[in-house]
Amino acid sequence: MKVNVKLFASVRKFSRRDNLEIDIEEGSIVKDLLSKIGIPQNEPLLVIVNESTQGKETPLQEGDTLCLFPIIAGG
Amino acid sequence: MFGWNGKIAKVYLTEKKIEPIPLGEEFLADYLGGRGLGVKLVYDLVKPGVDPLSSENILVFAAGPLTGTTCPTSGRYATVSKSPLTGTIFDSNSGGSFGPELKFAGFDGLVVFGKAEEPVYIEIHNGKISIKDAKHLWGKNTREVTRELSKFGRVACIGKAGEKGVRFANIMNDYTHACGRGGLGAVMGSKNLKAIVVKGNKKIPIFDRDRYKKYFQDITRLLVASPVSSKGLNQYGTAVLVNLINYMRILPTGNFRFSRFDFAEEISGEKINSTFPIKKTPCYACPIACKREVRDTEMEIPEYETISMFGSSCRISNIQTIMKANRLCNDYGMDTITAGSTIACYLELNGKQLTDEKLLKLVELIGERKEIGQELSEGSMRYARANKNHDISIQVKGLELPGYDPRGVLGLALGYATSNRGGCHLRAYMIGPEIFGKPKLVNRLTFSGKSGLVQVIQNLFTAVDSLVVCKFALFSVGEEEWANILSAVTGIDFVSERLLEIGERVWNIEKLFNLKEKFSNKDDTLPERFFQEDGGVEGRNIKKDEFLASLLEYYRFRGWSEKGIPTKEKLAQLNIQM
Repeated sequence: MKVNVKLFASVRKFSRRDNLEIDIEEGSIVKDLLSKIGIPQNEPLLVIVNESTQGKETPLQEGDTLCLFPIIAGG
Repeated sequence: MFGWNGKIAKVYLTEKKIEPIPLGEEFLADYLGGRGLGVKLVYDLVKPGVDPLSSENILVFAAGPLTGTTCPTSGRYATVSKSPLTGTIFDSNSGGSFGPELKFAGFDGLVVFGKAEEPVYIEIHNGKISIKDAKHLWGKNTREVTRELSKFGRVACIGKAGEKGVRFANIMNDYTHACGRGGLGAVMGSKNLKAIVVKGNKKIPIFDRDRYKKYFQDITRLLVASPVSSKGLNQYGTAVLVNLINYMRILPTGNFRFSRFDFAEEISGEKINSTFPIKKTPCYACPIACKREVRDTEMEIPEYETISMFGSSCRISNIQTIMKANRLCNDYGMDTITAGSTIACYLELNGKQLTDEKLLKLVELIGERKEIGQELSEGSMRYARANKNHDISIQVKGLELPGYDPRGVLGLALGYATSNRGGCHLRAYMIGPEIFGKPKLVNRLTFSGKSGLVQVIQNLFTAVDSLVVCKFALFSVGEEEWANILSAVTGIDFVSERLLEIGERVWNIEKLFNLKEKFSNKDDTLPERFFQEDGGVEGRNIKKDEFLASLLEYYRFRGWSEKGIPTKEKLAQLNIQM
């Protein structure tokens, strides 16, 4: 299945491109996707799946859009 | 006494009289300092119905018991008064180094009464206060005034906006730090008070140095270990939020008609970091160091709120233009949120598109109160009302909403509506739990469970505003650590519950002030737009019945009546005398 991934701020250092389309096995979770992109599992991340804040164990679905941010807050 | 100086000064500008007032430890332990102390003084000393821009209003500058120690993020002070923008009681706090210097000069606070006959500034030097001629400074903007007075100490001042009575004029200290919201700079200007300059070399006495050292290390360790304070804010500043908030579909766009901006990347923290060489300009005793400027230029990097208002809400996609608008606001001494939101309101009312040049011109006209700037200098509520279109002013109790569309964060929606100073994210920063998942993730699209949470966070933030420490530290440091270090500094036994009770006490006093000013439960609401329109996300308009049910539940959690009035029992429990 295919999922769309957008990288932000310091997470951009893990890829040459900021927007990716990743082909990943059915039943994968966010952690599997991180491995595929080359992001260490222990990297502190704010994971947004389809406009909803999620954990790294979240199962992925065909067509999902993931946004990966460093842990940020403030404003 | 430890932590506090145990002394404030009353400065009577009309009579040119200065009166130092001792404050007892028992009193200070009930209100701490900063917002708490200022709110108590304004509640006691300002009569109901007073015109905020008249000589009968007062203006309080207040540091807290931690201010001036080395405690991380404690370099803050608050200003408190009756706001000319909202008519509510209003506190606004700021970092930099002015607050600590006030403590080093021997005072916990300053209360300014009356009105000087001609422009003056107040100089405080090691316990001695003098009122000085400021005619040569009148008509100058904040950067110039600060540069001129810095040789005498740390400076808090107003620019032309404060002199001319722009209702959202701010007070700037240490060049770029702002008591930003609510127009307290206009109160200062109405008193003919151009600046306050402080200098001192007193050390803040600490009760138990060993315990202090331990708790200092605990807090520092938490801040350094947290990716929020050591990486996110430290590397990108608050501008890092632009892309996140845009993707969550809560970025105010076109005066809150929409919630996503196609050019967000162009005005993002990522864009800023890749375009400009950055220099960090941290506040006193702050390891987070979120404040930044462009290296070698002294050009400030705007905060997220500023970018969202001048950027997406005014549909400006050039970050350099936003930076220039921010600089103009800082120089004139004006709140960027209200300025940006009022311009967005003007654009909607007139069906206009903005060019970069026009935006900068409008900001300047507001600061000068000339042409259309005169109308806009009243803020969006008065501007829209004068043009018979009240509903396009996006404010609560007259204070323009900051950069989060409440339709996608319903806890924040309740927080906006119940805020004692009007539309504000800093009374209860529900973006923490609803977006960042801090301290714990909650569902952002329901009111369920929010009313209890909102009032607890409001109480906590009120206590934090009274210490005074930075709310950004709260992402990593809990109330227990603050209570511990406060106990070590003052020698008084504080625990988390006592801090929260102080917050609740101050919140209730603010409410009482507003009730005397004829605010009611009808004012605890949101702009009609959010009930009627969906902001571009189908079905996302706020359901009024759900909102009202949540509001009622909030009043119950607070121990207030169904009309939102504190009960006698609640006031007695908090030891508040009517």
